[in-house]
Amino acid sequence: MAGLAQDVEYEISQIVRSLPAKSVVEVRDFAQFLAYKETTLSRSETALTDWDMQAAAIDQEQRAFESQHNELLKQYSGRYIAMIGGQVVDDDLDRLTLRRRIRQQYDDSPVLITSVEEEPTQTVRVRSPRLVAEVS
Amino acid sequence: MTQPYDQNRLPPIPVLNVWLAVPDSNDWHGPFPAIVDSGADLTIVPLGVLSHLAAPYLKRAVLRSQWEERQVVFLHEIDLKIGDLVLPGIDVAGDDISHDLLLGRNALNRLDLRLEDPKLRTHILDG
Repeated sequence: MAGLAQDVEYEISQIVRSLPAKSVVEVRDFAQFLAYKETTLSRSETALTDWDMQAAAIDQEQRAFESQHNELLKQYSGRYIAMIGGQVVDDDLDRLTLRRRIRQQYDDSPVLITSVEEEPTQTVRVRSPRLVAEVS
Repeated sequence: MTQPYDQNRLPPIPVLNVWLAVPDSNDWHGPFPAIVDSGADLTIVPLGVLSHLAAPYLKRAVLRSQWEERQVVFLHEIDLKIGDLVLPGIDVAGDDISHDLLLGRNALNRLDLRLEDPKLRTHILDG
């Protein structure tokens, strides 16, 4: 198993070297998503719940959103959109109004709800390092 | 509303007890002590809490630290209550590593807050 993992790791590193920088970031994000799913599975120690599975559905919608981002930006720049099955099903300037409408219509179904900005993926900054141990 | 700092941390840190609910459900869970963290763009909630609530997913995002470390997270929507104040439709990031709940600026910027450091207590002036 360790040998197989090493072979695959080598193959992936070869592939990554041939990719443009933007694609390399996508590979890393996907690997992090897989690691996230593994963490979730080990945490529950049982089959994934419906809620856990929604993460995979939202991730799929996010990929559809990112692949259509240029077109969506032209049409919905600055607005909030709701996406299901790779299709925009609703949009609004007000995020709470859109979210309430979507929840009424789709209940607990996973729906990607996002603002359409220049960058397809939102970056959240956390600038709060904490002291965990004195370093002598 | 006034709440003492958490003095189990060094230096002591301002915290506020918060209650969380699935949006528009009024089904409040808490209190959870939340660290007042104006360095965080967004409120961050342990994944176990969000899972227990079944907080609806919004989208995927990237958390970045001061030193550009990246972490892929999912954003969820919750209603958040502090004292009598209800903040509806707050975006929160799920955290599968830490057990700390961080009250970030997307919530803090909606509060009239005073940190009274000499007395180690936090006041919400409209709460």
